[in-house]
Amino acid sequence: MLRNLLLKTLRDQRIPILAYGLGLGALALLIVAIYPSFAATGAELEEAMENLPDAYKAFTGGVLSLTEFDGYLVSQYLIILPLIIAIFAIIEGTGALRGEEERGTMDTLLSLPISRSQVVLHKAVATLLSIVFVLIIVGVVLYVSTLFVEEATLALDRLAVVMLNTFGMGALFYCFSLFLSASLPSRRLAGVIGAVFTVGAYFFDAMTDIVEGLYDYRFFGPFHYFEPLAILKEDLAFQDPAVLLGASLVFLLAAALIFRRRDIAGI
Amino acid sequence: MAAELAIESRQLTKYYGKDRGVVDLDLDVRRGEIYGFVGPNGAGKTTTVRLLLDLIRPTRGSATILGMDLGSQSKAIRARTGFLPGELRMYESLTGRQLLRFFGAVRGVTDMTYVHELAERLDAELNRRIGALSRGNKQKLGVLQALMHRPDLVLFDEASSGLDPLMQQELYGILGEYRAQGGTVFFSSHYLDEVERICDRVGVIRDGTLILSDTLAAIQEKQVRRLRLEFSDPPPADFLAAVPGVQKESQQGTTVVALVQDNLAGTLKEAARYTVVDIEYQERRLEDIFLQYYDTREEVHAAESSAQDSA
Repeated sequence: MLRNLLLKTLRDQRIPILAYGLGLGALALLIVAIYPSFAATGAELEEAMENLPDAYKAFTGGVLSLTEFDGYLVSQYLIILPLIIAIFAIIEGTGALRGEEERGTMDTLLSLPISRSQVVLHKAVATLLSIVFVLIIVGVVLYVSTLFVEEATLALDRLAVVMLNTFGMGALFYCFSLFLSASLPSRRLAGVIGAVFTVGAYFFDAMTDIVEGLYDYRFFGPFHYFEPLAILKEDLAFQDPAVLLGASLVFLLAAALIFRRRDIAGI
Repeated sequence: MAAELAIESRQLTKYYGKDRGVVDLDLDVRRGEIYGFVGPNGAGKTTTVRLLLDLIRPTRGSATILGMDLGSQSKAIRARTGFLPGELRMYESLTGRQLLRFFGAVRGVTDMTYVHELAERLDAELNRRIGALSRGNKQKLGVLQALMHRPDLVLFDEASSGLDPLMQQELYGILGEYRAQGGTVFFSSHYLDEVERICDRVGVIRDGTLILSDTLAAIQEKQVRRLRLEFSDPPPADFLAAVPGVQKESQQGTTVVALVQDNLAGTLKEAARYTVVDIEYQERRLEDIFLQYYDTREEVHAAESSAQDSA
């Protein structure tokens, strides 16, 4: 596991991978397990949903029905999944460059015959693989758990595309954090801005549905490209993950470019 | 000439915003020598080392390392150099053995025999987590990782700090052998006694500027030494006044202390006219030279400033 920086980074992340994967998997299991009790409330719940304010619906993925499993799963789990993945992405993204400089290990690392672009690339690929591993655990737990709950049905191909869409979100938050880590003078500042960006993006997307003037700007928010309900109920669309991965690549290249040119901070 | 130089810098300058790092540094470090780089804290030693490692980029000037351009061939240079920073920080969750395996893999080291030999000589602890190691044991690991690939050049920044005296001796021995095999060491330190002990040539940096660079012997030769003479009876007040190249520092009773620049023979000849009962001639230690040079430079600076003010 220590043959190169990519494998070393993966090794460093093995505990977070397990913690996030098993934690999110356990939550998925719980959400699926209690679905029958939701479904049983039937008409009462539907009526209550109808009476909820638009703002609330906007913040729960635009779900209109909790008695259908797709809507239930999106509003109770899938809509918050990218936010939890974002926590992992921001911690790893900001720690990758500025964090390592602040710990003082970057000087020794860069005394090895490895270019700065390689450092960025190895760390990025390793963390993106970690996010993939977490989402594989989540996807497997979700799918298997639905096999044991009669009322819950989930198509494997649609679940896979939802996970791909979630990966796109995770990749974007990671690469944006990496960009902040390469650009800003402290990890703390990068982390704060990364967190504000993530939460702000979530609110922005919800607000575009309820504030008329913001609707035309909805394309600028990353959550606009995360539509698990549409994937589960309608077409298998790959444009959204493609947009998110494209934006991730832009931030990744910008991070590498900035990191290549600037001074490494000493301790 | 360039091929004989392991490090060659011309007008290498680094400013951090308006703050001075180093200014117009012209370094010539020859292959196969141990070059001591001395100066007080804040003089620019670490800035120089970090520039030479391409960790920071120069404001102006250039440098070649092992004949390669630092700006464009940094990765190739690092394949043939080793580095031990002054404040060594390493991945604390790894054991020493894991760290060396990782660094070895990145450096393409397949045979770890040499590393294990060095580890044994330094009595390095390889099986404990780095986070649980003492500073000295971390420093031993630092030495191992810097030398594991048998580099052509190593840059040591306060390398022996944290090592106990026995391990320091072992390190000096290892560096001596390394030099004998053709290796070059850039040895930044503020421990002048170790620089004096192991270095072939010395560069002195002050306020970011290289003020002196020469062999230790040549530096010592140029310096003033203190001579204490004890006579049976007090010599006359004008004793040594007519001798060139010497300056009387003090005379108290039968004891005279003189600063000898380059006329020891003439000084002794003059002293021999009286009954000398004891002679003490100060050893030319680098520390004294260093301090003297700094004091002298301070005076020159003060004089220059004063002249400029009055002008």
